[in-house]
Amino acid sequence: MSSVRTAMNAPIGSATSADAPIDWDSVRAHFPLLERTVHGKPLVYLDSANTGQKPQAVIDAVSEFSARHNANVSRAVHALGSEATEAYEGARSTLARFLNVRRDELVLCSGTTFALNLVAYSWALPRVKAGDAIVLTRMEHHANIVPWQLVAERTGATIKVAELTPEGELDLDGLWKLLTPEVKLLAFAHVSNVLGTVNPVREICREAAKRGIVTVVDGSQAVPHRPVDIAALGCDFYAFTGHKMCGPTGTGGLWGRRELLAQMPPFLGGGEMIKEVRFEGTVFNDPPMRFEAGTPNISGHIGLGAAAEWLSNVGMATIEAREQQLLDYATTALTGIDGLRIFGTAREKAAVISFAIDGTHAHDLATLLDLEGIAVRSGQHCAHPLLAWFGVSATCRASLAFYNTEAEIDALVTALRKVRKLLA
Amino acid sequence: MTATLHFRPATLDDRDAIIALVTSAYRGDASRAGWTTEADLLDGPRVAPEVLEHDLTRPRSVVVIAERDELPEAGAAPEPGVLIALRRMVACAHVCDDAGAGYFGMFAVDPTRQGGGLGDAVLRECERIARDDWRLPVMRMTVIDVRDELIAWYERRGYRRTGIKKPFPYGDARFGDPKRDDLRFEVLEKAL
Repeated sequence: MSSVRTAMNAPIGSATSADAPIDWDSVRAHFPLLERTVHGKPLVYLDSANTGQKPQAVIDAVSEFSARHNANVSRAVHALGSEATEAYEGARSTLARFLNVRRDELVLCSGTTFALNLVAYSWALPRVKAGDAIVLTRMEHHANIVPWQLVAERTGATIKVAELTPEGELDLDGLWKLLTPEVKLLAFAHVSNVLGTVNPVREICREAAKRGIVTVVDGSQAVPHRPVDIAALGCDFYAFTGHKMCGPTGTGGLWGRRELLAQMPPFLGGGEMIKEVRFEGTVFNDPPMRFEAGTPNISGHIGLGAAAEWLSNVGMATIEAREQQLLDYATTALTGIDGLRIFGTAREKAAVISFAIDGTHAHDLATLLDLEGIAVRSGQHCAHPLLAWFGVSATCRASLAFYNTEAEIDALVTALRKVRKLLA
Repeated sequence: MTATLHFRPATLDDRDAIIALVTSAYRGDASRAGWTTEADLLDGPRVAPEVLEHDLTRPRSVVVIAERDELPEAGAAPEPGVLIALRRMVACAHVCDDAGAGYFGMFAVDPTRQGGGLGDAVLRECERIARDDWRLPVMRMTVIDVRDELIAWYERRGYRRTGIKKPFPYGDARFGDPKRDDLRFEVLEKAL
């Protein structure tokens, strides 16, 4: 089944040796979509925090599976069924290695939203009681707010919110004060999707663990952009999304500490998640299968496995360093535009730049940028409480990935100057 | 020493187990099974519960617990023929941010499990926390300055004697009952 995974063992972007500088143009060439035009202009894709583009290896892995190996997993004994199961479970193993976790602690699911809801319904709901508290932070995506609100509503627990510094960093002293004995769970982003702030996950998890508080980390914006060693973080649950890390949509996972997963009842009932079903009662399967009811997104997760393999071949530390270069370049360039304000200036920051320009609306900016072939996101970025705290109704967000170039950032700056004049 | 060590931050629920472990490594006849014993120097408690509780709960202070999955003694299995590994606390240490410098203390390895590299692993983990998580430039500790063997152990791991001496808190029962009247501490230091 190695053909399904389309393994690329040679380092990507490196001409001769591991020490040679990466040729980022050759890395970019793996992404066919980036060659297209939009409104007659070369596409400048600056919306990778929304969804990432896919390298050819991922596209091939998905289509190869559909073309040659398609069958359901873990059910059929025929050859195709075995090939499909082997490829699907192979993808789980690849992802487990990529994140440094055990494969039997890795639940494959449709992405972070599903993963966080799984923890909310299966871990939190049976345990959280009236009078308990759940701590979130001001910078959370709605996917890491609403599930906990639903738990609080049904249990009588309260939600407490850790606030930010003006730079958009977590106010850690304030957070420690919130971690009182009634707190059962702390859920927070590894990296903010709006501000780019990288939170000190290990320190936060340690302070929570000292108090017996379970930690849930939303890794959506971290896993695609930096090395993530979940085992070293000290968290209890870690959620991530596949489509932001070069994988197909509808993929992702939840890592959970084995002893916690073992205590959790199933979230959805169906096939695959059972050992034995009688009408008098059902014996549930062990984790992670217990949480994977029904036919999974087989080809998608095979594609995600290929994405993890492809990213590993480029090297996550290399990717992180390249994106820091691009962030520094873009921050300097954007700061030179009159009336432009950047939201989020954390000391440790990922390549996400939210900004607004005096006298213009974010949606107008994004619409006019689109006419220039430039894709940025505008709006509230699924983070209403954060935008309200900044006192703005919307921002534009340019989110970079390693496949972007300095020339694309120059194109953004030129277009912004042009648009600003138009809207002034 | 093949079994994997698991590190975790201690909670208040670990308080009594930590006190028992630290006491067993330093005080009384139990400690003579290991080389860290101070049985000839001091009696009484090695760690005061109220100090430990403070160390367990304040920010930028953590008691690191090292645990290992070990099989029970033969014959002690819950059912004949069933062997279930038990996660057992085998070492601990306290590390904190003391005014911009790391401070390492309350270091204890189960005296029956000393000499196998556990202490090394715990010290490295505490150094990692101070260096990587708290970005502290230096780690310090205080040791009783007559404990040459212990100081040599730290020197092999990059610590140096600073010559800075601190008086032993004679009369403060929280630090035990000294058997000698010439005890004092020396500050050891290592750049991280």
